[in-house]
Amino acid sequence: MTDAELVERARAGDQAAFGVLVDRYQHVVVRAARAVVGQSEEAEDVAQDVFLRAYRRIDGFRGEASVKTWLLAITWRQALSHRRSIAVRVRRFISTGDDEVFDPPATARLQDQELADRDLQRTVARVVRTLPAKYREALMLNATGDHTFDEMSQALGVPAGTLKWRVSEARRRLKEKLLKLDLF
Amino acid sequence: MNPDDRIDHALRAIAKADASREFSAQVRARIEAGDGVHAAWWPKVAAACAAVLLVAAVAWFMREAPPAPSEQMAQTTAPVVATRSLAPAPPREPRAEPLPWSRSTHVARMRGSVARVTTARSLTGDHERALEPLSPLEALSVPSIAPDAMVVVDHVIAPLAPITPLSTSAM
Repeated sequence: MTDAELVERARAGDQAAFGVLVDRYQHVVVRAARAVVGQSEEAEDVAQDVFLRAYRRIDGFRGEASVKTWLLAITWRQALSHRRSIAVRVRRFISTGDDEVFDPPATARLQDQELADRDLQRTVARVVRTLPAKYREALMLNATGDHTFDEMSQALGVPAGTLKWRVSEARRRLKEKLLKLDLF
Repeated sequence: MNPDDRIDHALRAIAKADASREFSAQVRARIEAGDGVHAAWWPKVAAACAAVLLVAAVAWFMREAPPAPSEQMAQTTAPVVATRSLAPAPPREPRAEPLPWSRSTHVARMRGSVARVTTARSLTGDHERALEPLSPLEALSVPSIAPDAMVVVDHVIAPLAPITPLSTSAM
């Protein structure tokens, strides 16, 4: 069943049809939210709110963009609002700031190469956190591989050229900082 | 693997984190329960309360704060100016009446004696003179002057009763 058909059925009150959309795009939405808020648990909270908002506003979906792009636009606004909220600022101020922000997912058994890769991932995650928000967000959203620059541009309301430049600049700064750490 | 590829690999590994297994079920449950977005009504309420408290605190401090020096001067001088412009002019004090007598005092050395000569003079030109011999100690402080000369040492204007002339034989 296509996205458009699922949307039509959800508009008619079919919650199961919307549930299929949730299954289909849950990872995309969680990753996009994580690109902004950083932490996995907070990203999942944001993503849940995104789907609830989308369900309530499904009548406003006109089909001009794809469902994925529509969800990305909602996710971006919701994640930025979440990050700016007072409660989140207070929580992050109190926390040590070193807990699982952009931490790579855990793996069951790690070999030597995997351990080395995981160390590098931790270091990269730590350095990514030091980048300015607009570079970090564009870099991490692009790194998900879920969206083209045109889709990102349409959802975020930022020109595709600007997004490409931000990603490029973020990578340049990231590499420069990693080289100073003698990782390569 | 070159550094750029290793960075790409690490970034993808970080960004590709999937949603948890129960995520979809939680969303479905919330939709079925008719749950709204739990986006937080209480931070908005807390922010509103904080804003009200801030305004109240500012108002309280503004009320308690002493006025600036310029304001104090303005508050002090403004009523005075108004009073001056509105209040009737105070009555002038009457000028003092002309004194009936004036008195001058001289020290005179006459024939080897020194005396204080006090002359009382009326406005009509009448005058009376009194002589008072000085003590030897007082006479020493009188500057050396020629015999029979008179030196004005004091001049007092005050209402006086007529002075009874002394006898010149006292000198």
